[in-house]
Order: sequence, then C-alpha cells, then structure tokens
Amino acid sequence: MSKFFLFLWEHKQSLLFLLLILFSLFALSLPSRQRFYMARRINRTVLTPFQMVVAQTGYFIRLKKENETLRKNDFLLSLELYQLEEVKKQNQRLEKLLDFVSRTPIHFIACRVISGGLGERSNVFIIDKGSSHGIVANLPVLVPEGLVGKTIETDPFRSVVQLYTHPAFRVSAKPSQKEERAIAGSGPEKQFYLFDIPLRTQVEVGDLIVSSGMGGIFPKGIPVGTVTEIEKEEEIGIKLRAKLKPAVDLDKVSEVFVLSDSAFTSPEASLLYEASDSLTSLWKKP
Amino acid sequence: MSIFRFIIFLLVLFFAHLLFYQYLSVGEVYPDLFLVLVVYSALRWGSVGGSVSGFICGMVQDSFSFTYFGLHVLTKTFIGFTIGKMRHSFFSNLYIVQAALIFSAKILHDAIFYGVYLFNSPGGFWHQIVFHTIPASLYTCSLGVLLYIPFNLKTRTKRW
Repeated sequence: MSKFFLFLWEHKQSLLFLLLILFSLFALSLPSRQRFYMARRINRTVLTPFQMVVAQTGYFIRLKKENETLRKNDFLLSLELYQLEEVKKQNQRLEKLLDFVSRTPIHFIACRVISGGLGERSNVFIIDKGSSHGIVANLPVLVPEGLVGKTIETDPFRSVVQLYTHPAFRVSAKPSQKEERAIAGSGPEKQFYLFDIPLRTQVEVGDLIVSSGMGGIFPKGIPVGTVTEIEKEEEIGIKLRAKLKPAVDLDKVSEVFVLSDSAFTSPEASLLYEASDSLTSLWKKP
Repeated sequence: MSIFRFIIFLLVLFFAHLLFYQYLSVGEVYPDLFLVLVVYSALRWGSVGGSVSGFICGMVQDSFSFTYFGLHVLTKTFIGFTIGKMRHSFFSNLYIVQAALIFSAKILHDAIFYGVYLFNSPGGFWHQIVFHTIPASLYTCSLGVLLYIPFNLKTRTKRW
C-alpha cells in the first residue's frame, strides 16, 4: 500500500495532468445541453462579477465624463443666462431712456459711460461721445432720474463729465414747488448740499430740489436731490444749508444723455427758457 | 522577478484577456493572453503550475465558448504541462526564447484546438492555421513579451 502511495507521490505531476486531461475529456464527452449548462454556470458564478465590476467602472467613467460635460454646459448656460439678464436689464434701461427721449423735443445725445464713476470714489465719468458728435464743454448730463453732471472736456470721440459729487461742481437749484434759489454742490464729508439758504426759508425736509435754470448751463426743472436735513452753515451763521439725497445713484449709471449744443446754445435766449420748460414738464410726468 | 511581481503579471494577463479582449484586437487578429499566462506559469513553476494554470484559463475560456466545453481546458492544460516539462531544456530567461516559446505554443494550441474543432473540414483547418493562427501567434508572442519586460525590470537600490 505504501508503495502505491509512494508511486503516486513520485508521479504526482503526471497524475495531476492526467486528472485534468480526463476532466476535459469528460467535459467534452458530455451532451451539448449539459456542456452548455456547465459553461453558463461557470460564466455566471465566476466571471460575471468581474465583468460587472468592469462594466460599472466603464459606466462610472462615462458618468464622470458626462458629469464634467454637463457641468461645463451648466457653467456656459449660466454665463449665457447672466448675459441675457444683463441684456434684459440693459434693454429695460434703454427702453426707459428711449421713452424719456420720446417725451421731449429737446435734442439729446445718448452716451455710454466707458470709465469712472464708482460712486463716491470718483468724480468724473468718461463717455463714448465727443466733439465729433456735437458735444462741447459745459453741457448738462442727465439720466431720467435727474442730474448727473456736466461736460468739462471733449475729445473728438470721448468726453469727460464732471459729476455732481465733484468738489468744483455747482448748480443753481431750488425746491420744485417754491421760488427760493440756492446753490447745490458737494460739501463737507463728500455730502451733497444745498447752500446759501436764507434763515427764513420755505425749504423743508422732503422737498425735491431741482435746477433753477439760472446758472446758464442747466435748464430749469432737472431733479437734483431731496432734502433730508437742514442745518446752519457754521462759518457765517446767517445762512442755512440742506443736506440732499442725490436724485441719481451714480453707481447704477451706465448710459447718460447729454443735452446737445444746438438745444442750448442757440442764438435766441428764449430757447433756453423753452427748453427748461420742456424739461420741467418732462419730470412732472408720472 | 519576485513571486509577488510575477503573480501581479499573471493577474494583469488574466484580467486583460478576460475584460479587454475585444479592445486588444488588431483587425481580426486577437491575442491569447491566457496562453501567455500558461507559458510563463509553466516556465516558472514547471508542469504542475503549467497544467493548473492551463486548466483554469481553459475553463474560463470554455465558459465563454458555449460549444466545445472542455476543448480549451484540454489544449491549455496540455500546453502548460508540456512546456513545464521542457522548461529546463532551454534558456528561458532570454526574451527571444520566451517569444519563440509563446509562438510555438500558440501554433500547437491552435493545431490541437482546430484539429478537434474542425475535424470534419480539413480545408477550414489549414485556412484557420494560415490566416488566423500565424498572425495571432506573432501578435500574442509580441504582446506577451512586451507585457513581461516591464515586470522583469530590476529595480535599483541606492548603495551608500
């Protein structure tokens, strides 16, 4: 018996080979149905999990790529949407401005602000129209909400606008329903003020201050601001000054209108008055 | 090559054949990486390693064929055993010898396989051998050795 096992051990390689070959021959001799069944069984139990892993890996890779593509598209669409919203806002602004223009017989030059004007930090705007478009120095610059400033320099294709926040800016102004003229301009702490108000004044908090039309540059009736506080001018003591909330928020201004030269520097002095009246009526409309 | 790296190499061959078989084709020529696995196993572990790896790989291949279940087992076990028995007869560390072995093994494998599979059509057998087996053998031995080389590269350690 031990010789038999010794023989097996000595020929274990050949025996193993024979065993495996016999198995393969046995498998080959099986009826085709059983062969098919065995193959399917092995395939399902042993190989399918690996194939599933690979398939899932492929699926996740595809999913990741698809996700990246979708995220890119989402980003692009968000940008597009943002642009569309900007266009929509611009459209609304332009519609408003067009409506504003259509309501007045005075000739305006529509301009786009190309630089400057970050609220209190800047006192000038650069606009995209210049002397070649009929703009000269000292023309009023407006938006539908009210006064922005005046032109101070012009090149052929651009102009510099001095904003109402500029320390040198002054405009003759008055309460809209009263005939009491004063000077509006930038004051201490970069606040907007109405100066030179007499002690016995009719000006009250909440009054709308408009241009008076007396300065020679700004026509009558352009909204300048609203009175928020009245105080004594410290230096003199016999005059008051009123703190104004400006009619125009310069941070939101991107297009402006310049009252063109022909409308204001016409030889007839009356034209300015007519223009002023037109402007007054313009802002009186709801 | 360490045993660890060698097993990794065998696993790469196994899964590459199992999972990426269709992506490894060049035209209609498909490599037989299972055969490469069997040859390298036989060269490393002799006839036992060759027969067992041949049996396993043959079984896996047969599970896909659904026709002659057992035929791949037979041929691959035979190839593994034969190469395992002969491994001391040649200097198998040379890549060219390995390539020649894989090439011969593939020819022998296909000769047995198609000899049984196309027993009733001798014309089909020769056509298969000439137009499919020889290109496939060349491709298999090239790919097999190319895959083996990176695993066989010695890693140098710095000596101070």
